[in-house]
Amino acid sequence: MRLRPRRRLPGLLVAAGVIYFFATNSGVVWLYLLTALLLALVPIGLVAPLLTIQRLRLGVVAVDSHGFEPPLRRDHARVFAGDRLALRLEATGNMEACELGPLVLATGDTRATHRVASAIELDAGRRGRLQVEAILASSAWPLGIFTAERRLPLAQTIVVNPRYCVPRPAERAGIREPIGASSRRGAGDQFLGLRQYQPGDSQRRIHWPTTARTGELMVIDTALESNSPGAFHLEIAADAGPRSADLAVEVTASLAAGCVAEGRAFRLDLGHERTPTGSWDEALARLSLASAGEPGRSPSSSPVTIRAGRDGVDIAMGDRARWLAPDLALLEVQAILEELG
Amino acid sequence: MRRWAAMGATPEESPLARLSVLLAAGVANVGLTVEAGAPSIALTCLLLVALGHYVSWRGRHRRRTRRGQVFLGVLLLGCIAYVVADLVFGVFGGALPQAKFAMLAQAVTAFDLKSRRNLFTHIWHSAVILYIGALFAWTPVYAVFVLAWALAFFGFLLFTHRRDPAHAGADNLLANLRGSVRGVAPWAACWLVLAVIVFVGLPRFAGRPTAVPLLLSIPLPEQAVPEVLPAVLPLVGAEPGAGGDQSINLRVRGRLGDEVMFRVRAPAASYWRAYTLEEYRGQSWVRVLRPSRPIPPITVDLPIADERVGEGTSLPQTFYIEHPLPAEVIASYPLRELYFPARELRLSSTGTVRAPFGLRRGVNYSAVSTVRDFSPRALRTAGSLKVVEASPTDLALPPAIPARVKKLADDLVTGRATEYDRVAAITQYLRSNYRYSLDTPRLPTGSDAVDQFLFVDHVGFCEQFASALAVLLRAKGIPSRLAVGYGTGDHDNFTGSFTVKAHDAHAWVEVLFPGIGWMPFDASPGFAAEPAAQKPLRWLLSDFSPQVAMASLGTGGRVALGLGAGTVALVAVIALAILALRHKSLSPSVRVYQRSQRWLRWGRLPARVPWQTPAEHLAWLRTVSVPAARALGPLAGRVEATVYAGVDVPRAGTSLGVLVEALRHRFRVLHGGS
Repeated sequence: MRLRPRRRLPGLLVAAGVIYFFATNSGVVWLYLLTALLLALVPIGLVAPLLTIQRLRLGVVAVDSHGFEPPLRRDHARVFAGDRLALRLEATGNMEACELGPLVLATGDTRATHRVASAIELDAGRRGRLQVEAILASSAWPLGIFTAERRLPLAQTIVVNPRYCVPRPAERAGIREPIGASSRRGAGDQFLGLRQYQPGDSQRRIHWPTTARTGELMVIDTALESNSPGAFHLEIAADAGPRSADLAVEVTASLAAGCVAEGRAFRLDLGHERTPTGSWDEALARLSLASAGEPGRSPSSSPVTIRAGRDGVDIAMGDRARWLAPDLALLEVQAILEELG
Repeated sequence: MRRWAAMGATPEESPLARLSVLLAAGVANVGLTVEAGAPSIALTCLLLVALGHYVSWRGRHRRRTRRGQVFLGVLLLGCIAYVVADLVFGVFGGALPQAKFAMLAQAVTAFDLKSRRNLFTHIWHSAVILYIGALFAWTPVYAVFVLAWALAFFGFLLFTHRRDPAHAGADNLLANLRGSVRGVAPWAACWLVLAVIVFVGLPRFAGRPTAVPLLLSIPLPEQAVPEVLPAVLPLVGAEPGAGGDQSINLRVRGRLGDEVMFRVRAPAASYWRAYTLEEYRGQSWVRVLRPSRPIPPITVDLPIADERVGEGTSLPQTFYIEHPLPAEVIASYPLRELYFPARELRLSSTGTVRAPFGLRRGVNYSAVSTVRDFSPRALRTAGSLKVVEASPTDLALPPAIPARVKKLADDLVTGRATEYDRVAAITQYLRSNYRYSLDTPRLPTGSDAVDQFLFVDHVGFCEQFASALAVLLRAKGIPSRLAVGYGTGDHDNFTGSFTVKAHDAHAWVEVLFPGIGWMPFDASPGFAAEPAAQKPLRWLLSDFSPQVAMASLGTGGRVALGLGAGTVALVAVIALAILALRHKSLSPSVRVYQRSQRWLRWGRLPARVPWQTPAEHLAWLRTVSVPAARALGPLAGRVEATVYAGVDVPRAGTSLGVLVEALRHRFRVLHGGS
């Protein structure tokens, strides 16, 4: 626990000293009283935050995220790179009305022992594991004379997934086919769910009951049924920069997401690891932790190879290849992947 | 359960904080009015302060205009002109000039309370008014005002610190106040208990008087018409106007009233001397007219013709005249320093200081006397005369003094080796063998008052006892004189002050001890035999007073002042150096972040308030200016990582130089700069 004086303390002490000086020089008892009243504020300002923070117990109730909106509905509760994370906390203490730095934990309405929900927001940062070890809670309640700080252990590991996009197949990149036509004709579209209307969507895909209920234009999202599995090989060179590595992972995740959207199976090879098939959850988990390693074996069995180098990312799709600069935005990646087919 | 709002809460926006400041100002003004008078100006100022707070609250988001600042400056100058006119010409009565200035200045500045610094200044301003009121407060009622002010200050600290959902308006004011009071009440109770403990245990030292009590009443012009004054002693036939009575007639006795003559704040009890009478004429004492010299109203080293005036503990006293008195300045003897509101004073060789006017009600002044070593051991070892030589008048007796008086003196001092022993023996004899009574037989015409008292009546009051002691001492060749003034008065243990009433008028004897000086002795039973003041408690800063340093310039005070100023400057330099070092020790990103906050203020965008994290502030900023939030976003993230995780690692594209440039550019674009 750490105790820091705030700017008010020197001012308060100087004022008390000056009044005490005048008290001794004039012999006025009221000035002694005023000095005593001012000086007595100091221990109160010291003890109150100290006790407040000492009696505080914290626990994580839930983790919410907002920021990146993944297009696949099943990723709704996931945490993605660059998201804002909200740790919903539950605090217990036996002090009435306390404030703890960024954590606002209690109100004047609370009783002596209370349980208060609060939240703190933080940046999810890059993909990978976000380890929350402790929360630095501080309190200067009620007078703001001293600030008591304490590290409250809060072991929480959060996996931050890479961002991705869903490249649309070339034949569907333009105006989409009406869903009614495809489904009635048995074209093989697989219902994925509802999503917000995007420019380019056919008006016939709008799901009017949901639109009326939510007040936003919602369209039916479908995936093309296909049995041809995708196979992707991701390599991150040892000298690859972090942005290149992230971009390679984003590209790989986007390709895998495309397969999922189309209902196709996919296989993901990371470096020397080779797995026959993979689920979307597993793919995201592996990609979120993917790091530089030895080059994998011959990627001959994988038609799509993504290789992160020092200056950028190389994508090879059969006979087509493309080099991506590391500072590309996700939308640009999506356009390139759609272009590559 | 209610969540407190996390954003938008600043002290400036808190109606409760402003209410606390207004309350403190009101309490101080009312307290001053109750204790010291001047209700009309205090009430006017209080109304203006309230109006000013309302105007400041309404205009808290408006920018200060140059015209408005000039207007306020002119008003402040007007306040100064008012006070100067009152001081010099007595245009508005001349009472409480500092208090009037403080109240007027507070009323003016109340119209410009925009920042929290303004609010802090305003509440300290009210503390000054509270201080001035405290100087006049003699009853425990003033404790109510002090407590009320302190509670307002407590509330101010609370409401300027906590997050307050009612900042945006006064809708939830009562609910918010109720919640705050409920949460803080136990701590407030602890605070009050602790304050009582500190108050009881706080050492109360004696220090030099400061300028403020001195100047509470104005120096009267010399041409002021002297008032007809009552006698300082109830015995005498008065010769009004020119000062104290020139004689004391031992045949006449006046009536002793209960009216309060004056009050004294002093750390120790003493006899408050007015003047001395030197010539005994059998039935009266007469003042001998001796040359006097002019002295300035503020005198640090009074040139009193006595021994060891500068040696010993100092006894500061502040007098508040409640009843008209003669022009003799009343104080404990011997005076060392005097701070009197007059243009010129006159000091006689007997150490009596005379003002150019009678001490009228409302006059107050400060004095510092010396408490010399009055122990029997010191008086027994008294050496030879160094400065003071006894005047023949101090030894003279009327030729008609009866022989039995001299014989009694001889009998009493037989076998007493030292002067002190002789004085003590005579004093003790009088205290033991004569009865003190205000109801004495009438002195027959032609008889000697001392002889009548010693051998016929055996009963008398202070004048008889003092006269007898002085005559017996003179009979043995010991210089002595009659001192008149007032006894210690009623001591109030709580306020530490002495209330001196008319019936405290008293007479005693001053005896000259070679090498030591004139020392007081009192032969009246029921009074202290050795009426010297006790030594008050001193502390390190007891002798420090800027006023004293200024007044003693040219006599070594210049050096002291220079040393003091040098010390203050040194402390300031060290403090600045510490601040600079602390600032340098901050990580670069935090320093840039602090700078960015200044840019935000310049751009009239909301800067981070103390309890906000950078992320919270960013969210707040986003609601006001999205471009500014975008510009600040990367830096805020980096600062959070630095402060909370201890890692100051720049992300790609967020080097400080890039961030600074981006911020500058953004702010320039936002505010139309070039």
